[in-house]
Amino acid sequence: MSILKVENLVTNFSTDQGTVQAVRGISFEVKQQEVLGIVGESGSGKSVTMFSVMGLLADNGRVDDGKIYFEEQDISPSHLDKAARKTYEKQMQKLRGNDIAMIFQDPMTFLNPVLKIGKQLMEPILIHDKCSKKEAKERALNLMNLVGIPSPQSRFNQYPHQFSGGMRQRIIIAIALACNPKLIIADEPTTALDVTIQAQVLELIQKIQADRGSSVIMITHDLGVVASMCDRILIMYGGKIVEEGTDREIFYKPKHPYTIGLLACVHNPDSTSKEALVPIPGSPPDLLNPPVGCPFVDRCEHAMLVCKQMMPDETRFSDTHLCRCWLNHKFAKEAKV
Amino acid sequence: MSENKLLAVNQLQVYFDITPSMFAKKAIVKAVDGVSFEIGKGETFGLVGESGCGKTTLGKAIVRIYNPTSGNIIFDGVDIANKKNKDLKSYRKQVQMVFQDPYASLNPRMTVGEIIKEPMEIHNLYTPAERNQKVQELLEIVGLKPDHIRRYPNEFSGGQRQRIGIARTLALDPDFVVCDEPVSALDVSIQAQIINLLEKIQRDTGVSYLFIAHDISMVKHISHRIGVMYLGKLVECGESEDLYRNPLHPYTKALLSSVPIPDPDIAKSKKRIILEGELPSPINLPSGCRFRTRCPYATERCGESEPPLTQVGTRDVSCFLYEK
Amino acid sequence: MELSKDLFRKLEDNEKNSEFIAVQSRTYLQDAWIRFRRNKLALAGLVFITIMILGAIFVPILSRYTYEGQDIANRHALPSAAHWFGTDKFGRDIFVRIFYGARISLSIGFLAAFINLCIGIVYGGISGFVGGRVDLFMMRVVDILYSVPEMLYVILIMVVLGSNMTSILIGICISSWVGMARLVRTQVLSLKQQEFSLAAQVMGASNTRILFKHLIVNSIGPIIVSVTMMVPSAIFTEAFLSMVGIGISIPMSSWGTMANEARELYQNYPIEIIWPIACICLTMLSLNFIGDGLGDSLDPNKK
Repeated sequence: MSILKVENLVTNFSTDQGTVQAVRGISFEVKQQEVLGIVGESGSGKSVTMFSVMGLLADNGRVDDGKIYFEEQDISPSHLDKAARKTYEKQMQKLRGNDIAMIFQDPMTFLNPVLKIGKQLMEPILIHDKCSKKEAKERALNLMNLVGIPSPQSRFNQYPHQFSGGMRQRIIIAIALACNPKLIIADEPTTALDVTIQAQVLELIQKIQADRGSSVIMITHDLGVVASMCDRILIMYGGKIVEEGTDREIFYKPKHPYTIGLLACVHNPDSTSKEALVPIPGSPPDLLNPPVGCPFVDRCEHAMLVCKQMMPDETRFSDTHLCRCWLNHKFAKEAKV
Repeated sequence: MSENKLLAVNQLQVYFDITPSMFAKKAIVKAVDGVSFEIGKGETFGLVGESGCGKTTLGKAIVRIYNPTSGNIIFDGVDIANKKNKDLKSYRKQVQMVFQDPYASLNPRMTVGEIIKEPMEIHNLYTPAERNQKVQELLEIVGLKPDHIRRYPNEFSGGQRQRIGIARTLALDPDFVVCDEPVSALDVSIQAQIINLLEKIQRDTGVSYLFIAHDISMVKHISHRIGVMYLGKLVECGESEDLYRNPLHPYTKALLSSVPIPDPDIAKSKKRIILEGELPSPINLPSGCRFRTRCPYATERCGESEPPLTQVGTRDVSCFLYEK
Repeated sequence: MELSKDLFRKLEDNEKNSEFIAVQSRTYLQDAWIRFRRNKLALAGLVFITIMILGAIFVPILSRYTYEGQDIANRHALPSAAHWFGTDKFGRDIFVRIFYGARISLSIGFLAAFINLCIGIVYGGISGFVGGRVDLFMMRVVDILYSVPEMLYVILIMVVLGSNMTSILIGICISSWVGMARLVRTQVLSLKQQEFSLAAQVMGASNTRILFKHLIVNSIGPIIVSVTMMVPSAIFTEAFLSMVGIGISIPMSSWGTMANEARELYQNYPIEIIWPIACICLTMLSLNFIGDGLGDSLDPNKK
């Protein structure tokens, strides 16, 4: 059974310059106890997808189409009238922090600077579980222990600015875990951290995922992080999912030219060769005016006329591996021969 | 390498006085505390370390955004560490800097043309027509279109902006460029563009780089030699490939083991050395070796005195483990 | 669309547009104007102020009366075709006097704001840019100036220099540039650490160039907003002084003196006091709306 299912999600933002089509019809699911990686560049729509799922879009953003199911329960925010919107907001408030938790990129903007750390940890417990203050405090202290904060008793009454970056990120994780969520969405959880601290945090997320059997969605641009954490990977580009597969399928048998390009332009420090990196030329498409066809067409070395005019259908390579690229069409293969 | 030496940094110290008021206890941050290294002509020296280790401060002191507290910066045989700002004009022409944040390093109220032209105006180089010509050449080198000169920085993506920043530094044909985390704010596919561009410029012009970054795989790729910094000190320094394969200092070991490798089979089986604890405060440094509070091999002696940077083979290391 | 084999031909490089920029190129001010236009209240304010300014300039052409010309037969007339806003106790045309008053009120407002702007930018800019002890000293001077009430300065200067426009201006400016200086200083302090100003420093740019070309230019948004807010406060000070009888002297008219004159008879002729007061209120409101609108449209974070 899948814990989260997204069908044909479309999210737009209205700006001064026009409508930015951030997410353009994507579908995927998250299975139980799996770590799903969503990889993409800034502007590929990976964070917007998750904010749409959580119902936390900025004021100028709107989910215009698509269905979202959490454990078969419909939580789609599109096409709602006023009354339905109210029930939706209520429903999401119950889910957020309780069944679905989110770990943000920047711990400092997420934590309230004038509230003590302990208070912020107790808040979700008090809201969702309606237990006594004493019990909540005990649970908060346990959580601080779990995420590896030394001497939680004295740290409990400190303020966020007294914590270092890595410690703050641990607090965020502790808050996320407060109500035993079934799904943890981590949006670039280690981007702001140093590598040695990143190693600590990744280890922690892995341990918690294994102990509690939650599902995790890791949104990141760091292929190294994806390789060490994820079971399954979605590659997003220009608001679309261009390839989807298990970690080994994506890294060892990539099919989409973008995935191939992405892997070629990161340097694997373990290789001895000093050969030049192979960059992908150009810049990502502007989603104010996205291409009709494949979003990668302007940067793809194999681009064909058809790529400019139509978005390719998906091609399946295995139960788990699929890719959207015209190169897999039989005509393309004939043209090559 | 001593004959084609371009820059030598000798026992450089940069301290900041952050005492909050006249009456409070004196608080001094020793951001850079006695660092020495040399960079040859056409060479890239990589500087890695975590945030707060002083690598950016070191870079900014070399281009004299910060004033060194003591020590020498010898560029082309001249010590510029203590020169007054007005005597630095010729140094400012030869040494440039590429900044970390492409969204903050370009003045948002100037067009791309004005931005690239500015250094030439400041140094009174060329006639206006030649300047325009040069701007076009530079735009072509960094892969932007000629009609981009009338646009404003906010209309460009991060990678394009960083290329504008690089075009600006090239306007003066510098001999030495300090690159302060030039790719860390960019997307992966764009990072490679910038790195390749920097490498191509080096091949064409023979410029030297000080490449500062926290991403060891990038530093290893672009640098000939690497220095590893921890809390204001250089703890290890050597040829890049050699240092990566065989790190000596316990901190370098931990740092390298934490780098996530983009290969699931290796990454999932890799043993990470997880460092205990957090970086100590730079105001209140531990006695003796600065790394001893987190070092798995720390002994009593490490707390008593500071290990000097000593040569081990082709490598410089500051750790008592390698003392003869 | 039907798929055909010839669609599967490889694209040439010139058929792709990889460094294409979709957004229109707009300067900062064009952008700000587009956002400003959307704020209807601010736009209404702008229209009102423009009308007032035009009226103040062209009032001699618009009406055949003068501001001191008396028509004793026609005292306290109600608004009519001859006297659009009516006449006052000496039979002077109120319409004309209102716009002559606008000349004084608006010029005091704008001149004071302009003088504040000049002093504030230079003083605050230097203080923030040089920093250290110079900054400490300059800011203490500002604190001392600020600690004396504004009215005290104004009244003292009026006593020494007499009641005229110059002394009102000097009185208003002597303390109110302080706010502008503080604002510019804060802006400069934070922008100084931005990478583009460091870049200019590394290039070898002179301090004056960095200060004016990079730092001040980028603080222009908050500066404009603060200037717009300064205009109404200067107008208000002048109106207040004239109202209590120590401002502009008769027969010159300002909104404050008109309100003062009409005050004595307001129970019998309320319409005469409504005109100047309405003008003061609407001008203040308009300028405040404009200030708010500018604040929103010039804020780089709203991009």
